Amino acid sequence: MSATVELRGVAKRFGAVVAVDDVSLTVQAGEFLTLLGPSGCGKTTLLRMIAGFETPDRGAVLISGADVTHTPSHRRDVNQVFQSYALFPHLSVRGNIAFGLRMQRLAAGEVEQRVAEMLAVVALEGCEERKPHELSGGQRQRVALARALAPRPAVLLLDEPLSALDARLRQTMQLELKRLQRRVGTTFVLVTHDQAEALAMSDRVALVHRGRIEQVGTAAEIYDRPATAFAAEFIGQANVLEAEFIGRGAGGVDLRVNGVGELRVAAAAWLGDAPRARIVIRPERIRLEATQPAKGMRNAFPARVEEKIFQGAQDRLTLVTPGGLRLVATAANAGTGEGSLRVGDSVWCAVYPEDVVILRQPASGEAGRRAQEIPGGPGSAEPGYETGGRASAQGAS
Amino acid sequence: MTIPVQPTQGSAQLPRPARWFLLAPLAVWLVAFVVAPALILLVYSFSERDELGRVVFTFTLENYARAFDPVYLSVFGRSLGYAAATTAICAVLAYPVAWCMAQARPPWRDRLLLLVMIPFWTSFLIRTYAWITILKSEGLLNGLLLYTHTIAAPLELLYTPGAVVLGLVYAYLPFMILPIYGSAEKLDPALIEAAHDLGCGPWQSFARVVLPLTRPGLAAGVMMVFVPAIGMFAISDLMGGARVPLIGNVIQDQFVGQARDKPFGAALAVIFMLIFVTVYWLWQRRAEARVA
Repeated sequence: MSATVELRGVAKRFGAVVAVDDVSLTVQAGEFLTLLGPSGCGKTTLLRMIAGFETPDRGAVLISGADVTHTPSHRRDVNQVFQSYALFPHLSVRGNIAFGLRMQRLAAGEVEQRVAEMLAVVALEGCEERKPHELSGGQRQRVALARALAPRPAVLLLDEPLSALDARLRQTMQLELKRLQRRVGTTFVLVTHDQAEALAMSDRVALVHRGRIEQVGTAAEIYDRPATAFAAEFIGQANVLEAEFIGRGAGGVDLRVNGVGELRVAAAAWLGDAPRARIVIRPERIRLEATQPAKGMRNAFPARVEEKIFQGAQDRLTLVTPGGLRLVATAANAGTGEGSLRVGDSVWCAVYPEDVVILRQPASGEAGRRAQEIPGGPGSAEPGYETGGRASAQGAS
Repeated sequence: MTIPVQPTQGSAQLPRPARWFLLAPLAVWLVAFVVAPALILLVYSFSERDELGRVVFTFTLENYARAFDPVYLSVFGRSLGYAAATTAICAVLAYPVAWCMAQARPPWRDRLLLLVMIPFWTSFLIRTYAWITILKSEGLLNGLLLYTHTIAAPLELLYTPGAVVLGLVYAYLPFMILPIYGSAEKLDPALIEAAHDLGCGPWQSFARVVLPLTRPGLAAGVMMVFVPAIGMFAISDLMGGARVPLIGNVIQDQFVGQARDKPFGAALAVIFMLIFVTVYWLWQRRAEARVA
């Protein structure tokens, strides 16, 4: 596989605001890559640099191996689907789709044939003569896709393309978009703040935070092995806990977590000689038992159900350990019969050593700064609660 | 974009007399300032004048027949040409200005808008006299050119067709800038980015996206410049030195000038009005056909 898009140490500031800070990223040919991050993280600026609407202050942008850092957008082999679709209101569906083809000076017959082809791809046959204002939101989105794909660009850029659609249509379009990408085989770079969208469609996700790329990987990689607290909290829900290194045991390292006790964690290596680190446990990886597991079993601790939120297929529970640490866990919806937990019930929690992720010491950014702010003394159970609380808030939105 | 208008039920809820009562102020205004003057002109245009220039009410088509005399046709043709040139020059000058204003950040937008409107704060006549001061033989421009030895003798700048067009362009430029700005400001910047994205250079994106989408503003500007420019008499008087009379001068001359033939002036004005109404009506019908 060859690289279609390559960003080499690009940076961009607007006045005093650093939008993009030394980002390097490679997008492979035929790949569906998503730039995921909260609003204002710099993901749109990255996209606009690839499109040619912004010139980086430093670094280089390469498309299909050629340096296009200073090439204007109309000479780049890249097309974009705009957030507002930006369909030309004075042109029909046909005129919009043919626009890029006419700029390529294709013969009239060729233009006609490609327009028909694109209309078939996005299932809009028969709408050729309609004007954009006569189309529904979903149809406009498909015209925007067809218009951008018609010139057969090396890369298709999509700027929050589904954000204007209602929730149901958005889910349908996610699948459609993924199918379309497989069919045409074009490299897609999508920008979104919606983690569900990123997980559903992308081959790889680049998590953008404060102008930097926090982590790149498949959705599963980022979910199962988040590199930073931000990554853990932005994708899915997470319990981020402070842990202290106490020693090495069979198959891993032993950590002390305030409010929980000792945990054995399956880790190939500890982080150098750092005495403390942060760990992540996903809510659904906390296994809940009604009774105490066999004596001597590691990674088991008691807790009380403090809060229960019904979420359909599962309940989201807030647990409090005797040490005062709050954790988020999930329990499958077992109906109203036996085995369903109620607020105030006591449970036993168990965590497999391989379900605990040790975060690499963040080099910079918010996570690093936050880690320094956290008081390191014993009895500081608050950080875990705080991050857990924030994670649940994000998960619910 | 057209918004389908539902037939409103609201008007049916008011009793008929009340509706007429609410319309009365508008009706009075229209009768007083539009219908009545037009009727007076119409009546005049079929009348005759006596030796003292007083209007004698009879019915004659003589005035209309005279209007098609080659002398007046050439004046009319000249007016048309001047107005067309003025409109075209205004459009070319106004587009970049309006575009820059629309692209500027909001605080600068307001400042630039103010700059465009500042000339309205002084009398139009004073501003025209200012141009005379600049352009006349011993004026500022000739003085500067002589002083810098660019020319040996003063150029004849004033009382030329060029001076008239210059005066017209100067007077009506803001009426072209403002409506174009109005359209340009509403243009979604993403549309221009989309044009670039799909392979348009700066000129192509102007021709294929900006121009078509600001056409309503341009059309309004053309109307607002062309119509008053064709009837203008003060500028051609002052800056053309009565050497290049326009149709406005001829009409003015009939009413307050030496010609003193109000019926003939009225007939010219009525013909003029009919031409505009017809052109406007055709234009409007085309616009409606395009929307439908």
